[in-house]
Amino acid sequence: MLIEEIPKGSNVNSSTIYFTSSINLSARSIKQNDDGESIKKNRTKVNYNLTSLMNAQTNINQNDSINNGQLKSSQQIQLERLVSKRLSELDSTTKSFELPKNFQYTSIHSTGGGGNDKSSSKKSRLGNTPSTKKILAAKRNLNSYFEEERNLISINTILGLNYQFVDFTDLNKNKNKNKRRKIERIRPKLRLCCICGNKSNYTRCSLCGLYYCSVKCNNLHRESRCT
Amino acid sequence: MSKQHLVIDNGSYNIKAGFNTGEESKPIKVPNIISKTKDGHIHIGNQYEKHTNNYSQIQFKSPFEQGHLTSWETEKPIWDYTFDLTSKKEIDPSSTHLILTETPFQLPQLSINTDQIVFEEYGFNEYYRCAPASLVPFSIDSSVINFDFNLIIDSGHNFTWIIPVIYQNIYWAGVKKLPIGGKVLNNLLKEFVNFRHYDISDDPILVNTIKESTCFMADDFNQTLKKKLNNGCEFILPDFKITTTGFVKTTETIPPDAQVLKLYDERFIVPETFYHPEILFDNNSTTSSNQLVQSAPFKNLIDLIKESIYACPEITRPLLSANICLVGGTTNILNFQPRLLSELQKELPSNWKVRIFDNYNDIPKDEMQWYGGINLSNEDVLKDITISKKEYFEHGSNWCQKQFGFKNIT
Ligand SMILES: [Zn+2]
Ligand SMILES: [Zn+2]
Repeated sequence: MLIEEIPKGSNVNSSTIYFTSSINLSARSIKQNDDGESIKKNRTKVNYNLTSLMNAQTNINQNDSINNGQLKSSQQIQLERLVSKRLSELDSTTKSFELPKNFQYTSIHSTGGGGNDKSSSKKSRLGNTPSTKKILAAKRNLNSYFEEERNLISINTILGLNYQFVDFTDLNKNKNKNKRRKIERIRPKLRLCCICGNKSNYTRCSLCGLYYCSVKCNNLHRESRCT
Repeated sequence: MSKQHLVIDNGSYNIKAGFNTGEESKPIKVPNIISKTKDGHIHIGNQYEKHTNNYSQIQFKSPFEQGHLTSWETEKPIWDYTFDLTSKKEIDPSSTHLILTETPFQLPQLSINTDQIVFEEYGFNEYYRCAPASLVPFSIDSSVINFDFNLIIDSGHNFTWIIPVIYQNIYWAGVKKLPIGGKVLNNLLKEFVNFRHYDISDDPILVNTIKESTCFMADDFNQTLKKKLNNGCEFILPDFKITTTGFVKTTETIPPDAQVLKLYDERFIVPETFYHPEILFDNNSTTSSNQLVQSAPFKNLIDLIKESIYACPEITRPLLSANICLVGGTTNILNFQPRLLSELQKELPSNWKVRIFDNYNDIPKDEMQWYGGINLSNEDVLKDITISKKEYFEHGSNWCQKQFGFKNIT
């Protein structure tokens, strides 16, 4: 889908808003030409860098008073960052390591009978075509693939999925007064003492914000895990 | 050589792979990982198990990042190793039809990389790629479960996906993702144990064993918490004399010098994250000190299931709620199904039938997708959705991605 075709209608849901404001900005500057040819030329040049898009959007929201309900609030962006930072912390395993260069598995079926003749074994060749050679030597991380992706709707959709479980309604309520969903029911949050695990009466450490249930646990917390 | 059907459910925890051999079909499972043990040796898949029984300080290299298959330099050796295990002879891709799964909403470029490896590196003759959940309707018992309307809850290693499948097609607008899976639970449990007991962070395999053998979903969280002392258990840590993996103490006969981990509320607080995602953020001082995070309402598994059902056409909603299927290894947490059933019944209209299936005639819940792929390979419809090597080289990899790829939701 082309950038100009991004729906500006009212039924844009939160998961597809991600880069809308920056998209509109770039689309606007291109559209000023109003000339099919130059739009085409411009489009091929645009480099959608994920990081710069995110930064651009943050700045727009802070400096601009556009209130069309499609922009994410800076609070929402900040919240998304905190959530994704914590989630990636919980997603990491132990230390990872780098594979040795040209690491590969030698099939038990590979011919050669103990001889070290690599050319006799099909499996020891890596990269049959230029594209697969490139893929198998890429050593790239996910972020570099996101930065390369030119279809912003794909990025919106994929990244938005990670925040489906965060309800941004309250944060954006001032901008979306008439669109605001009825909150059917507010579930009280579960607050557990960081020391003993019992229910905390919503009393939190003034320094680090962790919850505690009693003076005793608070003292233990101050001695042990308070930052 | 006559045509063969190979099915690979390429999960980020285990690969499930195997040929369609009729009634005998059975997948082999290989951890989708390359590891390096303390002594510096590198192992593919489950090779490390034969090498040592001391897994402390083991390091992992995964082909996946946040569920996306990013590293083919890591995945290819694991596939090659897996292929050796699936067949006594060397497999012949040029006469093989491959059914392959990949995560829903894979970044398109990464799907294209996969297609290129399948056709250009391995040279498979025919190919169909899909999200694992779409195969589940093909493996359920249609005398018990309606296979035209299913809500698949697939809780795996990285995430929990809620996926409506209508007439065997994923209804993309209703797909929801809760970023909680086996790995997040392991890491949360690790944080609890590290703080309260011992530092076990250099042994991820031990953490996983502790989770699988001790964690359970509370029927009623508040009541269970009040009686937490009655819900304790003792986990005997590996000593490499009596036990190499560790186990839950059942009798009094344990050696006096055994190292024992006494677990109480950790056992059910960690899985409770499915219903109270704020647990993830409260146990960490960066997010616990932030007012935005603290005041943000989080949607739990039930909220997302409801959103998923309500995103589907109205007429299908009661059918979906009556045919919910649990798949994926993380749904093996003790008491997962009964708790989910009671919570959902409270939330959905009382005239809807709510049925949640998690018992499939001895098929493990993490193999349902693979068996679905095997059954699909017997169906006539397969030839309509398959892409051949010839077509691929005629039309190119972008065309191939368009045939299989997810449709952007706007
Ligand atoms: Zn306490
Ligand atoms: Zn503190």
